[in-house]
Amino acid sequence: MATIARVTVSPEIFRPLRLHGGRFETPEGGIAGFPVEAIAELARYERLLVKVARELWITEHRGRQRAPKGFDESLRLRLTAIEEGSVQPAFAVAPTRSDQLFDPDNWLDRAQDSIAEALSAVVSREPLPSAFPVAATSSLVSFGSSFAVDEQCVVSSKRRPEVIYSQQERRHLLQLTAPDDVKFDGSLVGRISALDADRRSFEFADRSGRRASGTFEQHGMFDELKRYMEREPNATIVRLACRYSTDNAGRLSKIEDVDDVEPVVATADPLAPELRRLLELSDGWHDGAGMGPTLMSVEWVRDFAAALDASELPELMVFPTLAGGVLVELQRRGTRWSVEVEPGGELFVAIVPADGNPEIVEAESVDDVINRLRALPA
Amino acid sequence: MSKSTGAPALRDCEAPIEAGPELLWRQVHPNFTHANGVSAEAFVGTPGDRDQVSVARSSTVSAASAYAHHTDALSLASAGTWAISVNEVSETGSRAIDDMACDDVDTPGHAYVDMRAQTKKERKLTRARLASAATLRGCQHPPTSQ
Repeated sequence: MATIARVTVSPEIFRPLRLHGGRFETPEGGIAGFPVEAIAELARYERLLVKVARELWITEHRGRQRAPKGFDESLRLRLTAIEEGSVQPAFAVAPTRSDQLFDPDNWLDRAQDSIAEALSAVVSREPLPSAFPVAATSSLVSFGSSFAVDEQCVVSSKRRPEVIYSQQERRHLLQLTAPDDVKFDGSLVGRISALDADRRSFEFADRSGRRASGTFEQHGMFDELKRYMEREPNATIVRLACRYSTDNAGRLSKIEDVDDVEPVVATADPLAPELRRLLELSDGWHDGAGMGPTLMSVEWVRDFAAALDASELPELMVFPTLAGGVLVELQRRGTRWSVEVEPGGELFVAIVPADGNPEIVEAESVDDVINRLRALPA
Repeated sequence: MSKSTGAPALRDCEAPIEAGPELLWRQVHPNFTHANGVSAEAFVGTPGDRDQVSVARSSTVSAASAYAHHTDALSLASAGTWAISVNEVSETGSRAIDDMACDDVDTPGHAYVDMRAQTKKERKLTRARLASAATLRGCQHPPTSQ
């Protein structure tokens, strides 16, 4: 880690969060650590903690309008380590003066208890506790805004049981507190359909076809977005790293700013029509069942198709799976070759010969799969 | 991967279908067919019964009436009726079960391919084998589907 605070007195280490799933899992054989793009959640958490502590202090000191000078600074956290057990950040309080005591009245613990109690109520589908400071509600809502659907945060405190918090729980909190607008910091996949340089605005259709207006602050983003604005239905499908809002039903309502744009399926990509069709499948596409294919599985097929010769493409059949993955199959002279890309990217490759025993093939990469495909009878 | 746990006991109203050339009709969702054939995913069961794949016995109903029941009576999507034989099912290590006599079954000629005793990888391989057999045989109804 680049910066670790030097403290001359051993501070109490504070471990209020444990993060699981998605970005926080270490792939097999991969490098453990904290995903840099998720650091913003730790900052949101610190803001929440300090805000709750300040409001609790004001509540306890009737007649005072604000906390004493330096109160917020006395509770600032320093990330001192990332510990194992999924991902567990360890914090220490960072005093701003050498003579300052570390949180002598335990405002940090009291704030953490209050947050855990509030999140426990959210998880139980109950109203926020009356003791939770109303002024800290927006900070509570902000925490977790970048969590993906497969990520969870376990919130610990000294006096309360652990609480498991996720985007699904957060959505309930949003319904309690902000009935019209739910904000996210994440990514969206879809098409850019119109662009206005003067207003720095654009129109976007997400994977479900839902349309929304967007704006961007950086002028240079206009050229970036323009590269991918094409006529439907063959427009490039892009991924926007952005801040966006949805309504209570989870439908995209507007995009507030764009940090980055990259193509997911470009018009000229091999198998582009099949890949676009996969990305347009929403959950429930199979008579009410069937998950929309994950981006990871579709991108695997895109990279696989790009590595093939053009003459090899027409035989390929591309199908969604009910679990949210993709199947790429081919049947030539009675021999079937089948690759399933599971939603998380794991591969299952089978070869069923016209005569002889079927075989499950160990394959981990695009190259492995292509080598086995090219070994089939011509 | 979990290991094979042995075939679950059948209900009193169910009976294994003897191995043989009889065809079993499978209705295939439009997203699981292609001009070059049918997908292995067409041989995944409904939610809750993923490893029990509904079919209809050709000894009881025609490919056309099985298709009509699925699309008209049940109002479900189908791109056509495809076929596998009981022998082909047996060769995969799964089994074909007739459950027409069960009170909770109202599809004429209903049976199912039972993959419950197979591991996850074995089931995936079974589906690929059944898709291969169905693709070689071609769509049985409507005749213009493939």
